[in-house]
Amino acid sequence: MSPLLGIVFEDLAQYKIFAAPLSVIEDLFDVAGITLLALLVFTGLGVVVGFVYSSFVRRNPIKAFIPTLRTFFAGIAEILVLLLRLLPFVVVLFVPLMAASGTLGRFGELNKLGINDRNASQATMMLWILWGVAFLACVWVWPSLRRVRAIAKLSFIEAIRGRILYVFVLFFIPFLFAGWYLDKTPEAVLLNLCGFVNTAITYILMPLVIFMASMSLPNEIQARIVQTVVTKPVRRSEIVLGRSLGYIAVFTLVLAGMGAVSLLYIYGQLDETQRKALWVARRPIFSNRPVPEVIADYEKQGPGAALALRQHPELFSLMFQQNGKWNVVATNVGKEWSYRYHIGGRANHSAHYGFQFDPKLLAHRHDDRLGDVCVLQMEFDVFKMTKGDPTRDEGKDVEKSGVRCIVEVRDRGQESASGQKAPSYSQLLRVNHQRVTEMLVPANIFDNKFVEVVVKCVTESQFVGMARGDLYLLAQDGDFASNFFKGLISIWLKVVLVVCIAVSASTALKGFVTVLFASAVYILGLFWAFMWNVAAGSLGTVKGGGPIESFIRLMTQANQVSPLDETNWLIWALLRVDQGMLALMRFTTFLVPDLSKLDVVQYVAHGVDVPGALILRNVIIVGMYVIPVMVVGYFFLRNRELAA
Amino acid sequence: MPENVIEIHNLTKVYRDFWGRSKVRALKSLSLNVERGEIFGLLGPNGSGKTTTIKLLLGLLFPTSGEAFVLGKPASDVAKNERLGYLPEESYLYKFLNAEETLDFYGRLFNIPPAVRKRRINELIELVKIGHARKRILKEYSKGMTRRIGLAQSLINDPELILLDEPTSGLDPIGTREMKNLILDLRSQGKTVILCSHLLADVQDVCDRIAILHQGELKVLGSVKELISIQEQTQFTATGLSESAKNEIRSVVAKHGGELIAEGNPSTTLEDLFLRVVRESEAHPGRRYLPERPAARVET
Repeated sequence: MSPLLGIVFEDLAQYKIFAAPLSVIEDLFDVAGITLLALLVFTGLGVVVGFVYSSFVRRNPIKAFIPTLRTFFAGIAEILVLLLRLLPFVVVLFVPLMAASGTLGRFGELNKLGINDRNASQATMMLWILWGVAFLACVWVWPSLRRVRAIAKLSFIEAIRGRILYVFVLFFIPFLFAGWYLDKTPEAVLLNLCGFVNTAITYILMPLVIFMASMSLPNEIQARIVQTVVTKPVRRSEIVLGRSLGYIAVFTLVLAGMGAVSLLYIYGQLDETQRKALWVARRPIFSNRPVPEVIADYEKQGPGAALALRQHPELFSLMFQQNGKWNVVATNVGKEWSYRYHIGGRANHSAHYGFQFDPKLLAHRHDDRLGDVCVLQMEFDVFKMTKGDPTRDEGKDVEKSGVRCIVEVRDRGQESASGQKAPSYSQLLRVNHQRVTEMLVPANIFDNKFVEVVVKCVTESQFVGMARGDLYLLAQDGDFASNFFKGLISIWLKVVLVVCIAVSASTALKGFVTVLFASAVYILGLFWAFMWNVAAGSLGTVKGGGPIESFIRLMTQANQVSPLDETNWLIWALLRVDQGMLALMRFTTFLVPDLSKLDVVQYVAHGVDVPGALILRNVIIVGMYVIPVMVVGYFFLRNRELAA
Repeated sequence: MPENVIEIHNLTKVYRDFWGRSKVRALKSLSLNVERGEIFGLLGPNGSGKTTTIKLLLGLLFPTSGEAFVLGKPASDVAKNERLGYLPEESYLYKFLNAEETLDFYGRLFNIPPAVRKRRINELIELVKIGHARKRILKEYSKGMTRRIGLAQSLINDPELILLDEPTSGLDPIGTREMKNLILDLRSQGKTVILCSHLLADVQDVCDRIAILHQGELKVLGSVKELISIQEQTQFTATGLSESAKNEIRSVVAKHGGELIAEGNPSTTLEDLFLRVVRESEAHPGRRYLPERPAARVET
């Protein structure tokens, strides 16, 4: 998608929002590689910038160029070494978090790293050993970070004593009245409350984050306090990092406070029955392995197909069989914005999900008829070819647009072990358009750790659409409060990103300019997709060309799509300039992080456990973005005459 | 063996505007050395390049050409700051910290372990006499107190080389005396002090060597004693002499064909020198001041 920093926000579109398996991390290793490439491009750019800088500002191109270059590379090395020293702290912090969120239990998904269900426990053990090593490293590294800590502490004290935090009285005002206006119907109550809390935190916190992180360093430079600081043996990288860490610490506390208030508020707004139903974090288990028939079929097709299957087994864990042929896609009903593929009713079409997991994870319920059961949930897209409801005759109050499906759960683990026909359990269900349907399955089917779920539509000439994330088993419910905390982590990551951008920008810009810059990056980041579409010109969805073309259209009252008169040489030339500007704009979009990728509020609001893998992905994404930002900040501070 | 703590070779600084056009030549090809263990004074009228020189030495500014070495390391090297103390012309400190926190912060920047830091902070607060206000934030400090805490922070690492920019500004006469004593104490501990000032009396009292700058050019460089002594004149000052003893000395002078021209306190002749240099430089810009040239005595 993107040649520069935007690359780390590469859309991992094949994952539906609720379906983030741990293997996203594996893809991140690829992404990290691309990021490294981006860094190299970025370094090349730095060389050019350095040359321009040394040529024009110092008036001495050749003589000043080499030292500038040297400071640049030394800067990258310095920041990387400094951040490397922070790495053990990240490990020490996040491994227990991963363990607490159940991510470690799903370690077996990391096939590309050579981890499978058999050696997952050893891998987990290794991770804990790594944690121990990281802990020792922390103890060892701690004194060497004294300068960074000193500057961080300073920023912290500055924020506290500056009394800017009194602004948070503002935070409580919306909470006094919001209850009057929010929709309290059972389906919407949690969604609205979470949405409101997310909005309140984000819109009150972010301006303050931007303002504080932007103004401080320029003020210090202007007041010349920085002269007393940089004449100490403190490196400029330590100033950039220390400042950022200090503000991150302040706003972590603030966010924790806001989070606690918000959680109490949500708790208070729900009544007893709502709380019983909604105060949970469901943990879906998604399909992750292709069924044996698919593997056999792909191996028959040739080594390339088999390799793809081995590398990304989860992508083949939902396979469609249409008229005896296996495929990852099925009928396309023309819903071009949908990622679902459809199977036809009574048409020899079926969808096959493969699940391989530890049955201990599953939530168990008691059912009077079936005994010990586990829960399978699905939410399909129903595409109707006929008017009316084929399932209507069952009763007066049934939903419209329903179809019937047969869902069969087969124990494939035992079959592959003994070669016998698999024990299975099937049920005829009425499935409605995008509404959750629940099916109870006897628990013993899952004993052999590998099940196949086959979905067939039996209502003639109707289509049922599905994607990988649409059918899942329920694991033990998590706690809503800890899930809410995980949601806060994503806001926290935005804070980290914005603080680092603001601090780095403030090394070069004046205070208010930095505020504008950081705000611009933040707001553009929230609407990244729109920005991209505007900048993409003919590639995007926004019509009417770039700034100049739009202006011409506005002035000549031409509509957005009618071609302009290119025989006029002036318009011809202006359109070429416009294309150039669009190219520049496109380039700029890659420097802005796509913040919508970090959002996980939907999980919390829908009562679904935020996957640890997703948090980990976001952490890596933000980390990858922050490193070059800090290098830039260091570079500006290093080459700035702080006494001028 | 005298060893150069500071070496400056042809240091030139041109301030440029946004477009890179040269605005001011603040320093023109300055070369000088400062030896270990001396107190070196940088003098000059306002805008003569004193502070620019100090800031170039500290790496706060980058030279247009030429180079400077501080404690054997290039001025742009952060490592030189380890053994260096700097008191800016005004105390630029964090107003929201109290005295202890300020010193603790700067101590941390030197990576001083906690126990040593604590001891050092107590010593310094004692030394600059702000023990009564150690827990008050700097916003509430008077100018003199801020100056003292500024001095304390510049000594937190027990530096070998101390750069003092206008050390006595904002201090009362007692404070000024204490500051001068402190500077002399530092020399007796074997430390090198560079101070830059236009308060000539202070400089004359403490400096071993001075350099006088004018419009970015070095005009005079040498030991204070030599520079302010008037070679063709001799001056005796004594105490505890009876009237008869004084007459006896006068007669001895007369016997050797001399004439006693002064008796009593010596005058601030550095001021004379300074004014002479400035006047001379304005008359002949770009030329080094030549003391052997007969110069008009300036009455002050």
